Amino acid sequence: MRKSIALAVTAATTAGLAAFVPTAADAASCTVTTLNCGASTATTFTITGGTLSISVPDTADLGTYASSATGTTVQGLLTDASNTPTVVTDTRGGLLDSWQVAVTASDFTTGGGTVPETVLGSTVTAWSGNVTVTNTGGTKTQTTSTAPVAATGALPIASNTGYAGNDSASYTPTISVLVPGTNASGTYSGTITQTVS
Amino acid sequence: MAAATVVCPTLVPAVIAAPTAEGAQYPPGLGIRLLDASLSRKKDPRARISIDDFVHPGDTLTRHFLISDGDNRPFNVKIYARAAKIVDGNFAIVDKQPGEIPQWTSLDRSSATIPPQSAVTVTVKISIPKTAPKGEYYGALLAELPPPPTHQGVAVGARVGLRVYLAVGPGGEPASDFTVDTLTAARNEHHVPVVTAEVHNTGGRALDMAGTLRLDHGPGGLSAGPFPATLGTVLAPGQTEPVVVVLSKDIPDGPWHARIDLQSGLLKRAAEGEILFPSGAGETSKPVAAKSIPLTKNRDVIVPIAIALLLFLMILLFLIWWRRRKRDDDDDRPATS
Repeated sequence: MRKSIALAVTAATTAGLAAFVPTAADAASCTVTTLNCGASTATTFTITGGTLSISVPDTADLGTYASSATGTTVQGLLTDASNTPTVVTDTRGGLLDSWQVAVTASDFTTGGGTVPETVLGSTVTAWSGNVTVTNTGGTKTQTTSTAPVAATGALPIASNTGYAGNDSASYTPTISVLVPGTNASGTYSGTITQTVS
Repeated sequence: MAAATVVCPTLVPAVIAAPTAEGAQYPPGLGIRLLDASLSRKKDPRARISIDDFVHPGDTLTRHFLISDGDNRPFNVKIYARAAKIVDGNFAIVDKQPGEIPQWTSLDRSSATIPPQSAVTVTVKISIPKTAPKGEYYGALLAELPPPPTHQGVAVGARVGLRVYLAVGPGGEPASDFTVDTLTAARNEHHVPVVTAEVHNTGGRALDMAGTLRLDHGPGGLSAGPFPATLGTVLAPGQTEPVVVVLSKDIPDGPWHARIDLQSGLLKRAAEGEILFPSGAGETSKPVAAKSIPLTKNRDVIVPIAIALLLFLMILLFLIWWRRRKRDDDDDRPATS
């Protein structure tokens, strides 16, 4: 009689331990999933939260410069006549979510786009200047880049480093490019693209 | 048992995510978000914002994402995949080189017209060839909003990207791990103290670092922190990169006992070291070796272990008590006969 009570108690304790294991290691429940439902990557859950968004001015004017035999540095703010800034809004809601913005440039051409009428996109540089970040903790100003970063997409010009949670960041990047002295005069056209990921 | 019954029924409806509520407001400009992820990664923060999975050669992964237009005009967007690489602690999207992820990816649409204040859902299938070598593959799914075409001068385009971190191989997922090798105290040009931790990715998956630094045993017994580490440093397996913590300007030189707690997804590590800030702006102290703080000092590990030990002890005590009771009974028996 006493023996059966003891067994019942120990069984309950082990059951308690067993129930504790799957909650501690989610991997245990994955294994079960894999066995019953095929590959574990096929079983998904729905993610709640908002988007990672970017808003840019459509056009920018870097100004008019006199050409020089030694080359001309064309440098200006990437903004339109009404000074529209670039705005990144992160409403994904994760505490550890980070994002970064990289800049890529197409070749800039004038006239027929021959070699002396082309400025290579790979020679374009950009930097963010001051980035005003607003989140639930208030508004702070940070600077991701003050020095030129090649507009090849390899390095970010802006990021939300150090600001956890939902945030909104606003900045007006500077674009700089050295137009070689051998290039033709004219209005050069091209596209600067900002990518947030 | 409980896991199996909970998990399987969600398989069918889980991939059909309700993207937009009527009249939902999207932030200005072009937006993107992931709509579903592997159930096994429900607790992993990176898997909620990126396609982050381990797959076997021959597997196909199906996911959904949303592209939003938060402006008052329709957007004509291009949708495509690109390769990416991890360089200097950054996740860099590679536009001009081919890569595995774009080759393996098929999207149910390559362009979309999105009405103002609305969104479209895109289905992505990533099919891993049976011959795919074991390794980590990076990429991005991009939505591009080209500038208006008629403009002369500088036109500005926008892109939003969803990162893809895929580990491919047979068997189980490679373990993630990292070590903190050194701690370096410095003051930047504005005299603000900065601590740099050299983090080495010793595991088999890419890491996205986050964490905090605490200072104690300082001058006059002072303690300070926690200070957040700079988010977003990305490390591919084998890479070593600095993770930077910017402190407040009024922190005295020290010496301090510094403890850094770093994490990537669910993986956490802690390290400590004795640091001394230089007194001049723009100066850097010599790096000090960081001592790893054993995992057992971390609450997440010690609490379950303590509970398990306690239960074990209870069973043991009960068994001892029960055996003694039994022996007492046996001892009683000869006396009665």
